[in-house]
Amino acid sequence: MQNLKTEIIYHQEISPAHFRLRARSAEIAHSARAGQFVHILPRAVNFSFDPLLRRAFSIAALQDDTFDVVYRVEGRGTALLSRHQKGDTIDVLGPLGVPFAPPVTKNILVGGGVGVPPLAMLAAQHEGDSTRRMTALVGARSRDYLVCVDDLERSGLDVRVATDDGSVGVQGRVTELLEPMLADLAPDAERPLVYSCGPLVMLRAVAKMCQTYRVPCQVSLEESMPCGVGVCNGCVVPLLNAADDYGAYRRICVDGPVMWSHEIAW
Amino acid sequence: MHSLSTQLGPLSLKNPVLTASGTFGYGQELEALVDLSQLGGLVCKTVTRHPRAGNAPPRTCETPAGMLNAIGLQNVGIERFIAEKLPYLRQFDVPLVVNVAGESVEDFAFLARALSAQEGIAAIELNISCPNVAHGLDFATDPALTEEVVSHARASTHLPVFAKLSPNVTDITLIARAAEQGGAHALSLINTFVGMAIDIRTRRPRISNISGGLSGPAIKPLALRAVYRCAQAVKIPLIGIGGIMNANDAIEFFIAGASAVQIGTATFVQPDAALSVIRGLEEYLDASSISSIQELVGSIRVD
Repeated sequence: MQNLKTEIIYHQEISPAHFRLRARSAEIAHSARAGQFVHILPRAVNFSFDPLLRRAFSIAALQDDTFDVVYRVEGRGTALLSRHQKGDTIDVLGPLGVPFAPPVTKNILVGGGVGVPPLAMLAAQHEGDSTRRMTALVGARSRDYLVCVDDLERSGLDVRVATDDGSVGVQGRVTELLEPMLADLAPDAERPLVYSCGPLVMLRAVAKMCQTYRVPCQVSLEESMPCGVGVCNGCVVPLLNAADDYGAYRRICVDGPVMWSHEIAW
Repeated sequence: MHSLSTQLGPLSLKNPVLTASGTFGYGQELEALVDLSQLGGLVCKTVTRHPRAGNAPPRTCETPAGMLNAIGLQNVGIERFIAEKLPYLRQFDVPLVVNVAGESVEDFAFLARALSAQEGIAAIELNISCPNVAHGLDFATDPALTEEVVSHARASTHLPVFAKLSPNVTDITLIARAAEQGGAHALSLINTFVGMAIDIRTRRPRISNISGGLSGPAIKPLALRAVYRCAQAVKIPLIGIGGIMNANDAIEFFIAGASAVQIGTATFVQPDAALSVIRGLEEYLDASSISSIQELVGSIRVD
């Protein structure tokens, strides 16, 4: 974990209101693992104090000495970030958080909207590994909300898409693609590992389905995150069976963002 | 050569910049990013008599040039604080101020006694002003209760006692005088302002506690006035807190009458914000040919 000034070397709108940002940082490129995130200050450090806080983004890809994030403009912070140009410097804290657990023999990546980027990085890190097969299921509102599908395909994954309006793939929810894959498993078959990142309602549905079919599931969580390093206790999630009297809340920034879905009090 | 050293009652600090409670964890979280030994002092997250789970999420939301929080004093409790957090914190050559909160006068006295028995604690800060727990503001909105809780804590420890006051009162100088009367060695001014934010799409409060404490640059002018007014009202040293993002902000607080400052929300944005403030103060003293930060304290000109 370091606090770095990084130069933007690529920043493009890849679909309406969705951007891909690539910044130079050998430190992050050499140490980050899939599932980890960076905390980006969307403004100049001491010029203005509004919007005040950093924004957390899962890392979408790594190259030799650069890293990518893919985001949707949702509020003031991402709107301000989107105006940064190639050549600008941004203040980045990272890599932060707990990465995804290692894949097993069969893996299913279930992503929704801008939850797909960390899954694309997981796929890229295991590209060509024939002992760890991966399938990707991607959900989005429509064609305009689909990101990183090409990244997943470049990593050699079979990608199936579901959109709410049917503009790409099947019309419906991503869980409708997941259910038959889990339901077809013989009771004594080796369990696949599901990795999921996306909106909370989707994560809840995926977690419930995995519980029903007794399939382990890792989820990457999101919450308003002031510090990103565990000091503010702002970004918590309640866990089941928390081990001690400290209470059930754990910090998403340092105890996550990736957690086992069966540990969470959904 | 300039001097940044300052005095908070019996406690001497090598520089006047401390971390604010609840914004620096127990130090260890920021170890990789901040050289703790450079701090004037470290105020750790509030410790209570019993462990507290804290409030349900969402606990924070950003507001214009600020943020709301309602963490709810999540902490491991005094027993585990002493066993698990204190050994790490006391290995640094930095005065450690332990912030404590209680639900009764007896709780505060108990915590003060328990900490007195430990090595490596420089002072106790009484959090009588948390806006995010039931009855959290009872003490700091009542002069008589403030005096009572401060005097009982004083009587329970040999350590210096600071009282952290709430700005959510009609006249903070009345509370400041009461804390001074109760024997506080210094006052920490101020805790957060109670505020709220609403999601217009869902019509729900943006944090689960409905209201939360507002911090950040948005509150700096309000905090500065509280320090200025209390500086006129009491003789004990004041610690300025509220939206300090850089050395210039800190200097305003010294001029208003603060002998030290605490850096809070700025640490969320820049983990080493407190160290940047210290460097900025050094540069300011050099550039202005001021030999000691003490020359600034209370130097406001209003004539």
